[in-house]
Formats: sequence, structure tokens, C-alpha cells
Amino acid sequence: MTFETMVSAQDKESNFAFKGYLKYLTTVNFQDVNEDWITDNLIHNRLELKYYPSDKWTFDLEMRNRLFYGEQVKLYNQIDSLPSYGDFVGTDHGFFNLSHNWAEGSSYVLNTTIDRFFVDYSSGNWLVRAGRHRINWGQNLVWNPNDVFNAYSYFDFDYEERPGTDAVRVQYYTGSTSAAEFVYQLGDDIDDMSFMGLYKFSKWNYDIQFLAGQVKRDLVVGTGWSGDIKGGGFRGEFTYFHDKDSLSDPVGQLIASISGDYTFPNSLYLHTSVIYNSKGSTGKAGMINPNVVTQTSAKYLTLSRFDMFGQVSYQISPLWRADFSTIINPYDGSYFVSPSAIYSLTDNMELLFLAQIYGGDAGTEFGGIGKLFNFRYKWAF
Amino acid sequence: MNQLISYVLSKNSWILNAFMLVILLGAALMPLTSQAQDAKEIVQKMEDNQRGDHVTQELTMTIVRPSWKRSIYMKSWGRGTEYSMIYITAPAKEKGQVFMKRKKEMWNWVPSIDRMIKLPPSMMMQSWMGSDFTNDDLIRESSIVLDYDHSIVGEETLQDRLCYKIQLIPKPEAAVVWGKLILWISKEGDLLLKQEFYDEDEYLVNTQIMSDIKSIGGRTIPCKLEMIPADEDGKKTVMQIEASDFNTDIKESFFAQQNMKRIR
Repeated sequence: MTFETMVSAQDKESNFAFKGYLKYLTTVNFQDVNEDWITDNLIHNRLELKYYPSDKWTFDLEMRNRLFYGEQVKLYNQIDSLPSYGDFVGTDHGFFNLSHNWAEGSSYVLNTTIDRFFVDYSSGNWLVRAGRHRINWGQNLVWNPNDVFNAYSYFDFDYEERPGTDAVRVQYYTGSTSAAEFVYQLGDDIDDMSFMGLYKFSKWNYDIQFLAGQVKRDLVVGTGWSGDIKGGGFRGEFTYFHDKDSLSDPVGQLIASISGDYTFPNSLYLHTSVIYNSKGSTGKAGMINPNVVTQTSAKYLTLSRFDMFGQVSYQISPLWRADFSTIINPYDGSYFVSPSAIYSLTDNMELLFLAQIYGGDAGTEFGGIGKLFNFRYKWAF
Repeated sequence: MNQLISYVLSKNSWILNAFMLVILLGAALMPLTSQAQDAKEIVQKMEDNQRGDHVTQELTMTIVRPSWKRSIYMKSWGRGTEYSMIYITAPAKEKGQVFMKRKKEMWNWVPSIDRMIKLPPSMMMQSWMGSDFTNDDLIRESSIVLDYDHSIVGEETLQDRLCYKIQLIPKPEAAVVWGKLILWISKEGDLLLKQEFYDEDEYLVNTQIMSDIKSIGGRTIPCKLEMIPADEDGKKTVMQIEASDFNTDIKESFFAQQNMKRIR
């Protein structure tokens, strides 16, 4: 099949594509139902613009415009040891600074962040993409040790698109379901840059990938797969990190995650996963303090040696879907429990009810975070 | 709920089914190429027609319930029953998603998170929302020619067309969920206009009606398929073909991950 016939289906299409959404999220947060309730509000607009000047070129610009207001912002700003909430929201962790606070006060922040801004050039089997974009090498659905460029927090449920990274990515398709990739992630110096290669292919009804290179200060090798056992999904990711400046140190860090899921004919969905961190704690794991680890990394998906995930999901009717998810730290006994329901109002509007209940003793992985009750309205356009 | 999982499930569960439905539809709406006399021969012609055909279509699928309905718009490309690709054009929150089937493997491309998800077989087996469609019909590899005994049980006029009424009874050894199928196939134009699905106790479960017969994309076919569950007033699922092209040669290499990221 030639490149020309592949894209011929596009001929009659417009050169521009535009879409986005508007969301309103309110969160009630408390440690104890009889103590202070803290409310948090977020009006969140996303705009996505694509321009296709020719068959070979694509330009993409996507931004999130967010207005945060309420008690959470005010309380955060009252803690002198922390940067302002505006700094917390408006700090761009990429190579380029594409985040801007239009206005901020003691109880509100209005921010725009560009999280996709890239150009594609494709020709034959080649695709070159440069700019801020998401490079998603994950295979699992919860923990992604292979997602070495733009790891995300599982708990940040409202950021559906997930962060991007500033990089140049060259992909060469060797077949219908196989490809080689090379990525250069921009950095201020050699310790801040990444150079990674990946080869993926399909064999025995499995998608299989191998990756190797340097991610910032670490030399990295990894592998991942997606397949099935008796119809149920079976996926895994292993990534090994070794500090390139201390190669004499015999031991690096292995982050691994394996998952399985099964969907029954009545739409009942069961999903389980484990994550292993060779340098994780077998005692009280401690929170990943967002003020210390400001940017999620594949190395910090958990601070525990092991965490376990379980999920049950069910389509009650075509309009209602209910879900129950949990993460348990078997060493320190702390837990995360999240019941949720999504209701379809119209083709383009939905309501989400989602609770995030963290429990455990002080100093444990999930202790002290509190109980969050989220309500979200979303209109997509 | 993790958004990625919800991408795969809550939003997609009926897109996945739509995907399977389109694969089925490519077959179900296919006209017969020539007159046939024998019941098995008539069904055999239809079965033959399902294979090797190259179809490009624009489709709307609508779930209809007494108090509401929801629609999905999509483009589809098919090569026989083994290769298929679907691009979702609406609603807005699903737009841009692509599904691809190559033989027994399936993938879902989610451009907003740059993620290629390999779909395990069990995810394709979930029942059609509200059970207007049982997925078993859509995905099963069994043959309506080989797994059934056929007989012409009468003639009836449907939509002003005289039809053969053909009864299909599963062979004893066949792994088939249905107890009986009845097909109405028009004598002229060789169109499957109606199909009834009975369970093993001979109770009617679903009725499928094909209508809106038009000349489209070089063939005369029914452009509307309705699946109506028995005993459930006001419920149905409607698949409407908006545009169709049977003349394109779609090569196997079209069904590639690279192309999933390019089509629009």
C-alpha cells in the first residue's frame, strides 16, 4: 500500500480540526467527618487545535486553562514553608516554560498551560515529531515503569490527557505492527537530557517491546508486553535504572509492574496489578510529598517495595457505569479506596462522582492524606 | 477511576461493540450475487459474499430507549471479516479514537494520551449494552452455513419484496447459542431483510430488520439495520449507513498501526 492511498481518505477533510471541553470539578476534603471540611473548585477548559497543511505535515497545539478557587487555595497559601499555590500550579517542569498565571490572589489562581505543542513530519514509513508531546510507552493501565519520559500520577484522575515532554522523536515502522523509535529529550545539561531507543513488535499474539538508553542521570533498560491468557489481558513492564556516575555500584533500581484483567460477557470487569520497587521500603513507606517530588518519575511510582491494585467495574446501564478501585500497601497497612460512578447526561455531557479515601497510620504511604469527595461536570465540544 | 481504564471501558464499551457490529454489518448487509434455489445455497452465497469484500463506510449507530438515545458516528474500512479499522468522528469526547482488527488481534489507538492499547479478547465479549445485541452473534467464528441445517419454510412479502423464509436449526454437534434462526431473503436483489433469533426453548430473543434499500457506493443494499430485543418496548439499536463505497481496493497493509495514527 502506498503512502498516497493511505492518506487519500483525508482528501476531502478540512485542514483544521478543533475540539475541547469544559469541566467543573468540586472537591470536599476532610481528615475526619467531624473536623474541618475543605472545599476546592476548579473550572477547567481544554482547547485542541490541529492544522494539516499537507499530507506530510501536522501542527498541534493543546492547552489547559484552569481557574482554581476556594479554601484549599487559601489554606495552602497560608503555609509559609510552602511556595504559593500559584507557584505550585504555574511551575512548568519541561524544558520550555509554557505555563503562565494570568492572575492569582490569596484564594484563587488562573493559569494557562500548554501541554502539547508539536509538529509532525511523516513520509513513507518515517514519522518525526518535535516539540512538546506525550511519549507513551506504557503497557499497563495503572503503573507504567516503561513510561520513562512523562510518568503520571494515578491519583490525578482529572488530568485525562496526562503531561507531555519536550523532545524529538523519530519513529520508523518496520511492519504493520512493529516499529523502531529513537527519542531525544531536551535538557539543560547532559544530566538533564534523555536518549532512548525502543523496538516493538507483535509475536504470538503479544505486543512486545524493548527499550534502552539514558534517562537523565540513569542508564536504563526495559521491556514490556501486552497479550492475553484465556481471553484475559496480561501485561507487564520492567525497567532497570542505574546511575551512570556510579557504575561501580553493583545494584541499580528495578521497577516492575504486572497486571491482568478480564471482562465478563455481562460487562463485569475485574482488574488486578502489582508494582515492585527494588529500592522501596518494607516499613512505613511515607508519602510522596508533592512539594519535594514535584515531577512524577517512573522511579517514584511508589516508595514501597510492593503495592497491590484491585478493581471491579460494572456497566449498570448504557448511561451508568460504577467502579471500585483500591491500592494496598502490604507492608505498612495503608490503603487507598476509590468508589466512583459516571453518568452520561447527553452525547457530550457527563457527570462523575468519585471518592478518594486514603487511610493508614502517620508516616505510611497513604496515611494522613484524607478523604476526598469529587463531583465533576464535563461538557465536550 | 483511572482515566485510562475508563477510556478502555466506560467510554468505549459500546464503541467496542459498535466496532464488532460494523464487522458484522459488512457481512449482514451484503447482497447475494445471484439467484439461488436451495436454502443452504442461498445462505452459502451470503456467507461467500462476506469474505474478500472491500468496504469503506460512514455509519451512525444509535441506542434508542423509551426516554433517551445516544449516537456514535464513525468511518470504517473493511477487508473481508479479518481486517477492519474504525475511526470515531463523534461525539466530541470520543473523536479521534481508532480501532483496528487484524485477524484475531485488536488494538485501540487513543491519540489524546498517545497510547496504543492491545485489547484482550474478553474485552470484546461483553454483552451489548442493554442486550439489544448479544456479542456472541458478532464475534463468533461459527458459520451459519456449516453449523446449521437449512430449509425453506415459506414465502412472505416484506417491504413490498417477495422473500424466501429460511429456517436454520443448529446441527447437534455445533457450538451455537441459538436454538433457531429465521432469515427472510428477497427473491429479487437477494437481500437479507429480516432475521429472527430464537433461544434453545424456541423463544424469540431478538429481531433484526434491514430496511432503507438504496443504491449506494455501487450496490443496492439496505442502509438501515435495527436490532430489536423481544419483550422490551421502545428499545432498539439502529445502525445507519450514511455513505458507502464497495469499489475501493483496500490492501492488507492499510490495516497498520502507523495508519491508525494517520487516518482522520
